[in-house]
Amino acid sequence: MLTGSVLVAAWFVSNLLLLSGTAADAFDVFVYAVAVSLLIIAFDYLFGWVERKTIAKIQKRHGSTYVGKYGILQNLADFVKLLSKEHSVPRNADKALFLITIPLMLSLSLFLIFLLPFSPGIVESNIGLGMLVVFVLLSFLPLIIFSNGFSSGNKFAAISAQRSVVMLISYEIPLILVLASVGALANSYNIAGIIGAQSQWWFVLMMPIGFVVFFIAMLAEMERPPFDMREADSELIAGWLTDVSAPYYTLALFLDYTRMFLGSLLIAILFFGGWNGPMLPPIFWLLLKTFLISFFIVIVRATTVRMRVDRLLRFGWVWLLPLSVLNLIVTYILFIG
Amino acid sequence: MVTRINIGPVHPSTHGVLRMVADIDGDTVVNVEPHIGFLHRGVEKLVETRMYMQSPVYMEKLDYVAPLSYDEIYVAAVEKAMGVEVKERAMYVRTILLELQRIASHLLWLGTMANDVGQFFTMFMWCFKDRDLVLRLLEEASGARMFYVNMRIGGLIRDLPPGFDERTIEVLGYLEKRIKKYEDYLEKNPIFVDRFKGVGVVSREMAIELGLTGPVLRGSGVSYDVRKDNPYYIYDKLNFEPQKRSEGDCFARYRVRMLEMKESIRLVKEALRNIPEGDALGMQIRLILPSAKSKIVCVSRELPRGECLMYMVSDPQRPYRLSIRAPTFINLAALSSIVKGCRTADIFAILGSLDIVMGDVDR
Amino acid sequence: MILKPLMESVKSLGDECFTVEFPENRESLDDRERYMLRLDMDTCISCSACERICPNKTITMVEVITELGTKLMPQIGIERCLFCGLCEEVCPPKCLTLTKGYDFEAYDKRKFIKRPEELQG
Repeated sequence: MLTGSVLVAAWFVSNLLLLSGTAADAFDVFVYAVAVSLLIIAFDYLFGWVERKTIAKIQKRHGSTYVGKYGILQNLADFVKLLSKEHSVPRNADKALFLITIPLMLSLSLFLIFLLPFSPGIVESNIGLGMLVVFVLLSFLPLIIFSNGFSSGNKFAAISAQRSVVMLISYEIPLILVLASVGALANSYNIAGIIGAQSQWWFVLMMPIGFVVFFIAMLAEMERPPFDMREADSELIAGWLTDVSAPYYTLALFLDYTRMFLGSLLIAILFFGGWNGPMLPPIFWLLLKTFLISFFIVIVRATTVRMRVDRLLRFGWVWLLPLSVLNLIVTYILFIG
Repeated sequence: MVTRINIGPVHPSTHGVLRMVADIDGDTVVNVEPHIGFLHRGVEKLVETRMYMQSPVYMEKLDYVAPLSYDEIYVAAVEKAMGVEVKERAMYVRTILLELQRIASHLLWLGTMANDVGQFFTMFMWCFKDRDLVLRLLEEASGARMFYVNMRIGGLIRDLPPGFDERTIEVLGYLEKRIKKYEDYLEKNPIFVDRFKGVGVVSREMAIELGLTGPVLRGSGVSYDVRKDNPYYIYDKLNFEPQKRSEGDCFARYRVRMLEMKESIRLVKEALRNIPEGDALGMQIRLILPSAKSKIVCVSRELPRGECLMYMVSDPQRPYRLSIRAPTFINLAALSSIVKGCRTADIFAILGSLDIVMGDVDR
Repeated sequence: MILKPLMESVKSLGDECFTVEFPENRESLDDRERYMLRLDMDTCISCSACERICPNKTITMVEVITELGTKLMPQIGIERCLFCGLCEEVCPPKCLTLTKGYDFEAYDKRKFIKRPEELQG
């Protein structure tokens, strides 16, 4: 499959070239990348099942029960069905650009997850400014999204891509400001350093306003409800996924959960103490916290109503930005000054 | 630059087959033109070729969300043409069933409106669960879940089953708590309130001029309700007040319907307390019914969506001409005046608050 | 602010499901429901009142050979039937009734036209 090969090549190449120096290091990096990819695939598969069952239980119905014991093989059935369909590209589309953007988004998200450590011993890249690197790379995403919408040849997809780029850009600023206050509090931007600084008190207790701002802004970055105007893009405009053929649609579904894993991981690392916890191995605590935060995001999806575009932008600029500045000032006054 | 967008007949909103052609400038709507007629079945002509009591089955399929109300208005028109009086107990039972139908219809409206705005089917499922309880009550009384055909000339097909009172009171008590919960669920959600307040304002003069009726009219401050101004059955005996709000936006229409649901629950409880003994059976169906005296009759009722008039010119055994003033047809025609100047995403909020059923629009 | 709706959602995670897993579990119905038709062939008097009252022209009278000779009996097309109950009400010996069974599936549309012998269920 063309898409799979592009995807695999992209993430391996980016990994090996950027991070490793010697040949032995390259092999370790390769093994680590494969292991983390398997973890992400397992998370996406299982979390898709958890999301379906949770939303069904909130709505007082059963969810998927037919395929497999509790409906656990449903995602596999959907995956196989989608891969067996026809692959076609619309005539107006810019073929090369259109076909490469979704695998590129997925490989970017995966690469970002590779940069985050899962345990104090297993650290693939102990970069001094780890968090800043993550957020700089995260801000490449709007560019790729825009080129995807622009190259699809459908005017509605272009409009919805423009809207989503505006939303992502305006919600990144509060994100970076809260990150600045976290970095100031932990006295470093190194990820292991940030987690180490939370060994006494979690940062969510020390700056609750910052946590709320970061959570809402991260929801917008992950494009989950109530900020999902691109996918379920209403009622009227077709949305960016209409012209995408079935194998790429699989990757797009995968991308949704991968971005959610990335977002929950970031929130767990920055605010909830990462891998700190008694007795059990650190990786278990990290995954547990990530899972609980993702679960909460699913409940938010079941409850909220979609926001209108102009209200959304207004909310970001009028409420979140001043609150994040206020958070920065208060953190300096209380803890550092 | 004004682009023309086609919101086609097939779309994920649950209203039915409605095509809208919208002229949009950036994000602001300049003009919306609804194109209807996809569900036209020619009911007014069909009824001319059937005898009187063969038609209620067709009249119910017009408004498939609240079918009992169309059944009842047609049979009331036939009764008026034949000069038959409805029995006392049958009047009470008909009122109880009509108010239960109103509660069921408003529950469906609530679910689909929340769905249009973006709420991911949660309210929809909960409202359908509660509507199912009401439909079970109606099923006990008439024999079918959706297309009842239980109004006969002068009464009903059969009386209420024994034990109906207790089951109804139990269901109504449960519904009161659930409606309170739905109000909290939606009104404490600031995104929802933000999406509905100040959107699609209809002023009082515009509402009267456009000919709107029902909760849409009462949300703009005009207190007109057929059950109060032109009472039928026992509405003058029950103390009943029409609910109204004066802002005229989508939120006001939403509040009017929620208050109407609570009012209907109160009316059903009161009617069940005062119901007299007797029999409620109507005239049984025969191949030749008593002749209708040939005259022109006009009957008006308050449907859950507005005021419906049924105008019939009657022959001895079949209607010569039947003309229906459907409430949603007039409400939908007002859409192009209401959406001028709104945003694109507001079109669906306004459509949700107008409560459109396409079977009623196209007939 | 938005916490109350979220708590509401979390609370409803604990409620039991309202839907029924059909076809293994089914809901029980009342006895006076109007679903599948049933004909008692011995008491039918071939008056064809049901044919004349049906609004949808679903019923046609066909010849059935019984031990007493040939009789005209109703043949009903289930795919056109509206289940309104008028034929049950107008039938003089009350041999055509609507029962509460709702299991009629078939792969072929022609199997939905039920002859009088098949309506005896």
